[in-house]
Amino acid sequence: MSAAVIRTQLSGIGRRPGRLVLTGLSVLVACFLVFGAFLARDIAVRATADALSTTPMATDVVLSVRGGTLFSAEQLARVRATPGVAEAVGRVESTVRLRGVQRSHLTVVSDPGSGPLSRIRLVSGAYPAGHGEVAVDSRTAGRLSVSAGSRIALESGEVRVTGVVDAPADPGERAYTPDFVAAALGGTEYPRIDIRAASPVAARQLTSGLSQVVDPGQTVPMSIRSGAAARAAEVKDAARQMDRVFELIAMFVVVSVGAAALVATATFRIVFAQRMRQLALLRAVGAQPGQLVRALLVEGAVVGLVAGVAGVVAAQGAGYLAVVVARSAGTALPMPDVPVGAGIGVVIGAVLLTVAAVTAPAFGAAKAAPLQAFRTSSTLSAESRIGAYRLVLGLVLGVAAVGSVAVLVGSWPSTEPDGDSGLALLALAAMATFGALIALGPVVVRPVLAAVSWPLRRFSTVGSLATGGVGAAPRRAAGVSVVVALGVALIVATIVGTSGMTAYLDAKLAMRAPADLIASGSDAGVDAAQVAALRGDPALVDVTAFRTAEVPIGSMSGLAVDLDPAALPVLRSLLEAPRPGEVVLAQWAADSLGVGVGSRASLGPLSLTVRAVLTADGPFASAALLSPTDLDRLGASAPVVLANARGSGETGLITARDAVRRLVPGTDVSLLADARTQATGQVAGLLAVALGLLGLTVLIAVVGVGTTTALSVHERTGEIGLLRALGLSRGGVRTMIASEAGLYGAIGAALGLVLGVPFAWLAVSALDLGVPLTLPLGQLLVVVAALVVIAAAAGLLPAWRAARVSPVAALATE
Amino acid sequence: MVFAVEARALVKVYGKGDAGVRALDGVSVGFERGGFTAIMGPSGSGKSSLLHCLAGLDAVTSGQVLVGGVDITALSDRELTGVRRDRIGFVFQAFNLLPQLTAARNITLPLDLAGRRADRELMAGVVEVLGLADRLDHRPAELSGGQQQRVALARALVARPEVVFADEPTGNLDSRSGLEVLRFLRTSVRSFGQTVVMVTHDPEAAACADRAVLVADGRIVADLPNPSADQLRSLRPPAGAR
Repeated sequence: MSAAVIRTQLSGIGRRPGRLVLTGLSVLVACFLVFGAFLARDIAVRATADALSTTPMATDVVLSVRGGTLFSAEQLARVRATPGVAEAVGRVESTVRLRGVQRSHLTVVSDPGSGPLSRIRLVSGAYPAGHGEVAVDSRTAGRLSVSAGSRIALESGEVRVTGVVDAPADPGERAYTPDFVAAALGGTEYPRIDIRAASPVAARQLTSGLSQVVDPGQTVPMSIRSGAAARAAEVKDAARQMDRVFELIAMFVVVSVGAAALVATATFRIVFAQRMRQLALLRAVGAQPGQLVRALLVEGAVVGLVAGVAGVVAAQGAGYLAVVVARSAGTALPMPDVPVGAGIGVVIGAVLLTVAAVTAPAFGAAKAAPLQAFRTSSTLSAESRIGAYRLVLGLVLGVAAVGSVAVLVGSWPSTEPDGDSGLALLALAAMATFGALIALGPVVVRPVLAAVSWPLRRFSTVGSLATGGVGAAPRRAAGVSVVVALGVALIVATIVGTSGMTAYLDAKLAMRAPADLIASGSDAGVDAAQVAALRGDPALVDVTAFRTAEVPIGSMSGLAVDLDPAALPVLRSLLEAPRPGEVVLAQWAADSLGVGVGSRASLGPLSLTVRAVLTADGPFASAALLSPTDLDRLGASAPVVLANARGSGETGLITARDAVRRLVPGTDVSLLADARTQATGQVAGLLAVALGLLGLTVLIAVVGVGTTTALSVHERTGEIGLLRALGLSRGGVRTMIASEAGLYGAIGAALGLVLGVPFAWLAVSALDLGVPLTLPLGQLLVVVAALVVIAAAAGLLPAWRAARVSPVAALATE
Repeated sequence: MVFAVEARALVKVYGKGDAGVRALDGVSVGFERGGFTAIMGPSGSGKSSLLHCLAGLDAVTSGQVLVGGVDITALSDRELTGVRRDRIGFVFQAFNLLPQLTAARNITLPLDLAGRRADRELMAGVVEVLGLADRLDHRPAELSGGQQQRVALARALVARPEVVFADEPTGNLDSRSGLEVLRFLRTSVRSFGQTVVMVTHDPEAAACADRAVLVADGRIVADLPNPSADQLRSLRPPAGAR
């Protein structure tokens, strides 16, 4: 009998594949997410390792020293002479000072220049072959204005540039040359030797026998690893850094999986309700409730299996596609692996998740009274009141959430530096809040609906019918709106958090790099005539001079500057120039002086009014910003000049720098712009990744909106028929149903907004980084509006079906 | 004579080919303005199909239905919806009120859908006659069956339709409430000059009408003015003779 029941159910899946899609879609998306995140991590780790790796693929054996002693040229020669060694390269990176330009360095990197152990590619000229010769990468060639044939002046002499190469993107100005040249230039020897073996067998023998060759007396402590092991160590290192990012992503993925489980449960309940007659018929002809439960669980497992496999395959395909797209866009990424074990794990997880999701609906459906076979289904979810148990659970969770937040706020200012336990407490509060929302949902939905539907009800009959339709089944509305709320809350929290973070980083960067370049001039600084000349140069804008002085801050000492914030666009909005007798203090300086805004602070001989306190450091890590008159009394340094490039990009920068060099002879010029572009790119990238992942949570929620609307249409066939009979047009029905779907979205968005913003603020405060609390209203409204529109769009298919309901349906006796 | 509603050679076939069922087999009948007509017949006789077709709820296979002289079988769905909204009122066996709306909003629903305002005087008169004045703020769940059916009746009357179709309006009511509803239907005919067409299988109910049309096997088999219950009972075909 059981087998027969299961067969009936499964053949039902075959006949109505649409239902399989409906029930499996959220699980599929969840599997796609989990497996996709797994692949993305793998790709990101390997791409990072490739980019940062100093070990070429062809390296078979890596010899590296431990401790201070280096390998000598003679030891390197002995390695080269060892049978089985096809090629051996000494690896050394040394830094040499450039003549005339203070604090400017050239990093000289050893590289064979060609062959499998090389990390570079010659672009023009020739690769250096002897002493005093180097090749530079194209960026450095631009920075130092050199090309093949020119010379670079070093403090310790001069090198000739023989060629320009393409090299891995590394910071700073870099030159490449054979190992012995690099070692000689740096006056050093080799911390590491990379070896390519003649054959795999030789590679194994070398690994065991080399230490005898290199160091018969065993005086140098060294490690001998295979190239693969060295690379693996690098990957592991890269992975450690990546994992901090992926921990965050994993959190989002876990939430999405939870959302998928909720949606799957709701969808199964819907699908079983639609099949109530059939289930009741099975009961009427003698199927036991237990048999029905088993059959429905098996159905859930099949759905989970199919959805899991589809999700994993889709993610793998998307992985390949993403890499292909990235490659065509010029970003070199490695192809994803095919991690079979992880894939199977995800599929098993999908089956378990789906079976868990189907359990409650299955037990509910199995209780179908045999009599229901003879009736059409009627509204199941009209009940708005909730049981005492559920009410108590909801209230307890609500109290727990409020309590955790109270404890968190009560513990401020946190004594703990990283705020980890604060965040954990906050996560607990968030989970409790969400639990309370699930439990109390049907009660909460009515007032929220009343609030968000006001314009609909006010201005259109169809709108008020839609509102009535949603309000008539608060349980159904709550089930789906809560999932939408989860997605929206996460998106809102991310946007609010990132907006605060961006403002914070922008401010921090503005302080660290307030202009594109800085020039210190000669020993006497940049004189007034030179400043005037710089102001007149077409390559430069925002030219401003400032001075520094050491000031005592309590028991410590700090830097005071008289920079005029109004002269630089990035500082203009952040700082107001102090008038004589006033000071703007960095947070730490204000703390150690024990002063706040408006109070008097004594800095050495000066007693000043605190005009403002900055959340972090002042410009150039200064402790105090003063007026020029006050700085004079502290003994100001020679003036230094800041300026922005008028032109954009690398060319603009170089032109601007050359102009400064020309107008202020003998000056040192540093490009501050580099730091800025690097940091802003990171934040934008992280936000895009986070929003992309959260978008998938919202996709799951939208699937829920679609299925819930479909159930609503199914349950209210009679009502829709009646409205058609009374004169509601097909278009009117479509509008009504799509509006209902939109309302589910609107309720969820409202709840998500109300929960997301405060939690984001709490999280930002708990991190205690001095990040400002912002409310990016425009972005949030866009999110809410987009969500309502997407939800309404999800209702279009059920709306289209509803419009086909014949008015005769109203006359069918129930 | 101008009929409020008229059927001409109406044929309705459900299904296709051999499996087709001929529910209406060439029915021609007219309903006078201000008349109260009962359509009677056993289950499966075609009386419900006749009502659906007359009311523009279902498409006909062939023939014509004229409502106020307009052939509604030639109309598009959009036009037909308008005809139902503006010119036809319904009273159903299962009351069919929207549970989320108050009695007052249920009554004005067809007018709201049309974007028209209710005629205050007519509304007040109808509500007064039906004894609903103190029930207007209640939702359907708070009303008795008889009250719900009176709300449905008010909804049908307040838009001043060409014709009110009532489908077994007493079927879900106890005999006292049923009688009340029938009395109100009569009142609406007398006081408001309303045309009413009622489908029923109850001879007592049909006896309240001015005229009874008997349907069997998709055809009209008898048409009686001022019928009595006994007369109708004697005309009922013996059980099993569908």
